Amino acid sequence: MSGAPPETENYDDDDAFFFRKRRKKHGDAIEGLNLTAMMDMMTIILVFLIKQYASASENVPLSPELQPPLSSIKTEIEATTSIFITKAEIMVDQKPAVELRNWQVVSADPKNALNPLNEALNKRAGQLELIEQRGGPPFDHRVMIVADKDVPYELLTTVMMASQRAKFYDYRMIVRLK
Amino acid sequence: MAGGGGGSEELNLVPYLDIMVNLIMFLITVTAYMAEMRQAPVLAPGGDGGQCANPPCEDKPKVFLTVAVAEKTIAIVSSDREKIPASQVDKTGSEYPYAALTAKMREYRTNYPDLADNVMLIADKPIPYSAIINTMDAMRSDSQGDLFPGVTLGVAVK
Repeated sequence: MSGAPPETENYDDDDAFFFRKRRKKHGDAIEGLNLTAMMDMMTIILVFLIKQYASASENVPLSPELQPPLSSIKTEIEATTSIFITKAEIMVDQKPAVELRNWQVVSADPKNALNPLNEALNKRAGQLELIEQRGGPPFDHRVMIVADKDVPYELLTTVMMASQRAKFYDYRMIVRLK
Repeated sequence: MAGGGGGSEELNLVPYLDIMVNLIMFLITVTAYMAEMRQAPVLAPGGDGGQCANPPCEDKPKVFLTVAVAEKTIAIVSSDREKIPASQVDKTGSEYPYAALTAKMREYRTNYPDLADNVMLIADKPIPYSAIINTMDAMRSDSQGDLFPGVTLGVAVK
């Protein structure tokens, strides 16, 4: 103890502490990496990404049967009641209402082929009106129509007229940005 | 307690970390390839030539244009045919002449500034939805500014 002076003799207290730490690290083997901080960071990133993905209003499930047309319009999507017109079916709020084949409604009763669609839209309108009556947000009569680019105008207007009968007359046509 | 008397063994976080990394990579990839979606507002036809959607507006409707998309042509007519002449742009090849339509709409906007901002758009039954959207794009604006940003989709009444 009383032999050679310590190596840090000429340094101030902070430097001495730093060199002591370095010497210790060089001398000891690393037993295990502490992953806790990394786990915290990963968890935060994961929660952020999941929340962003789930809350994206433009989160429209695309498929070969549903390819909306391209457009240069820049208006952002506002989430509301949705009608999907794919090559195979028409859905209201992502629940199948009627089946399509060659852009014609498949039904055993052709005269009332659109009844399931009317019922689904009326049910949704009723829910929104009830929410308004109980103090919720007012029923804005908006509906977003997500249709495949090949949907003929006749079918498009048929669906629009059906939604108009159910008091959805403020249409938002959903398109892909060019 | 069984096992409670052992040393302070750390939980093995490596498998959990693997799952997290995979999930993050998946979410980042999915988000990157997600198509950017936008919305084009469209009004339902009212009893006033489309200038006032439901509920109907109180003011007297302005003179408005109707754009009709047919199989081989796009026709433009106004609600006051005596003052504002009709015109059309014909299809060349398989594509509609959207640039010519934009130029024509600019002429109408410049020559008849009192025209309503809303255009009534109608189409033949088999016209695909993509042609409707492209027509709306062509009528909405050009490099000089807004043309006819509002669209009311018209339907034939039985």
